[in-house]
Amino acid sequence: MCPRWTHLTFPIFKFKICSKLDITGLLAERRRSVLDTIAIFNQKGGVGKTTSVVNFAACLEKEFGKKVLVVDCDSQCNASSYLTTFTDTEEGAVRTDLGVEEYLKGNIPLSDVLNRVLIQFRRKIVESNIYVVRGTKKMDFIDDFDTDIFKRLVSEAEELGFDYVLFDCPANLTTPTLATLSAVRFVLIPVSYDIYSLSGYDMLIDNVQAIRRTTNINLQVLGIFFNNIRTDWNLDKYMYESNRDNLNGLAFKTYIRPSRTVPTAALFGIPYPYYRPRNPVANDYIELVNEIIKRIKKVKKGAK
Amino acid sequence: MTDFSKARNAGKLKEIQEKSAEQANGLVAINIPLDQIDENPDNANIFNMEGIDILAEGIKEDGFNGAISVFKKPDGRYEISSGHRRYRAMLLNGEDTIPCIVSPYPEDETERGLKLVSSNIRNRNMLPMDWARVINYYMEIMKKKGEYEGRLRDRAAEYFQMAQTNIHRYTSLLKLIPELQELANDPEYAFSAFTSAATLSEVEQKELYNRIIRENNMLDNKNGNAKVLSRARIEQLINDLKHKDDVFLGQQNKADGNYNVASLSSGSESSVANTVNHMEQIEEGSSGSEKVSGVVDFDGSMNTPVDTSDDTIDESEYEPSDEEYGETESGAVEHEVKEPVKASSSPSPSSSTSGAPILDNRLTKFANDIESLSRSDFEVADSAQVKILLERITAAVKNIELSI
Repeated sequence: MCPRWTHLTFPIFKFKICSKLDITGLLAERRRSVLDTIAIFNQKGGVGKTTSVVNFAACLEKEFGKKVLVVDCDSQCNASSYLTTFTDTEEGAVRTDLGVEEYLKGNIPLSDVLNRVLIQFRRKIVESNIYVVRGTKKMDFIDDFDTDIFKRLVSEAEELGFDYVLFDCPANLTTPTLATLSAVRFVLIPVSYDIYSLSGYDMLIDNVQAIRRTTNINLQVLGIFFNNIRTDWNLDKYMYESNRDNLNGLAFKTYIRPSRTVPTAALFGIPYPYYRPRNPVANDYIELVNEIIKRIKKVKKGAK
Repeated sequence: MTDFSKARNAGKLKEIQEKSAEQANGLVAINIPLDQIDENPDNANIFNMEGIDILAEGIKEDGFNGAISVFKKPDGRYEISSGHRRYRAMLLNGEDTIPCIVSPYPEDETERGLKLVSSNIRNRNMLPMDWARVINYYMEIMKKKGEYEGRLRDRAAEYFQMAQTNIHRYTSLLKLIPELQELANDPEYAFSAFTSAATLSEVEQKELYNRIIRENNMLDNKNGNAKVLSRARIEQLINDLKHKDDVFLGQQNKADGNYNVASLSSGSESSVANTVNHMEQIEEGSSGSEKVSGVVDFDGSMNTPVDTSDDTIDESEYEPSDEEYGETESGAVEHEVKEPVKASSSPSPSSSTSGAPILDNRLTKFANDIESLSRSDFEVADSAQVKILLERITAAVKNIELSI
């Protein structure tokens, strides 16, 4: 069991390394890589899907210099309201009220539903390289829809120069979730210290198998990451270690530690890496995103 | 500290973990109609597709187990990455579908090529020419891709888990004429013997092929068990063509098909003279000691000091092939002359090691051979020389018999 002080010092050291990545990320932007699509999904609610999507997007944009699109498939619209806090209130901001529902139903281009995310950073409101497609409240069950509609969205996003498309999924299989799973390459699963978050993952495996048999052969479980745990607590440690050892390499080594400042950041409408850049939790996010990027590379290389 | 692993629901956790390990990214096989599947166009050029009817029969009897692996192409059709033979067999059996493991289509062409290579080299019975083509294909891909460190041959050696020299051996087979490639593919020949022939010109390679076939036929006549030439002999033939036949081939080219009869006849004379010399020395050697292998050659064109016992064979190799000279009289003479020379050479190395009895056995045998030849097969125009030779040989044999 590691003493508490290592949590404070070690990630700060790592943060310095990560800040160097900023430059390489910007350089990489010039010779743009192929678009990666990730759905963040667990059939158990309250494991931190939305928070993770927002913070991953911010990390990818801030630390790795990527252009990120967030698609909010959750009818609670938490991710879109989080990210459009300043966009909606600021005058002259690029915004639209059209969202996923309109995109699923009709033949409108992706550029019509994009909202550019504004972020408050060092007391200034700046334009970021994150874009969001709003979720809408009535989109959960649409009768006739094209299962390939999000494939169109992905190809349009590629044309617009995005590096990553992150889909925030609700905790059940709704119309947008199915459309998402048939379009994305990877599924990323947040779990927590309770066993029910893992039974959500259990159900998800079956659904992923079914999707792969029918609409999307490319779909792959990228991995599981632990949210809101601290390994100096026994239960958290047990869950973390047993899954790390027994999930066939699917569990990420990095986990996100709990912090009251994470919901505070949501209250202020600022993604966490911008809200508390020097906080260890921000480093957790950066570290995790780094691990995710590496694993995507590895998986793609393995597929070749 | 509580032992969580003893909790009632810990078993559930374990179940989930096991399921995840087995199924989360497990391969899914789907039945795909055969008419939606395309073959990789490069496959037929690289790998041999023989014996599919046998495979088809096997599938008919035992059923189809496992699955082939395919890519899903952007146009919705599928392309085989591994399992071309099984696919053909299923077509032959008239099946409608085949179980496939579908994987995403590699974005660029080189990756598809590499996949074809990697999935096929492991589970096929590869002949030398298959290796040659697949290694060449791999090296072309890597050249096109341009992302490798060091020499390409090193990379290929690493990839195919072979020695670098082997990589070179295989790839140089591609420079041979088709006839020689066929020989190299024959498991009875050592394929690596042919690699040094890659630097020969096409004419020279044809000549080499003719010589190998001719010598093979002779081997068949002589003793039934040895069917093909040894590696050493083939390499020697190649070496001769490389170093000594330049003059000969040059002359032939200048003569433009109308070969110089005078030079040819003189050549055959000199070779006969040499053989006579040779025989005399065998006689001496047999009566005295066993220094038969120390035969000296008198031909001026021999500059390189090779094993002298072999040089007598080289003499015969100076004669042109059957194809070029047809059934002319001089050709017939050469046939006769050559045979005793060849036969005389073969005992000489063995005699130096194993002694007289074997030598004289062989001598009697080839004396018989020559007799039969002179009696029946050929009409010999200039048979005087052959007769002299024959007399000398028989005399030599008698001598040996007497001495024993």
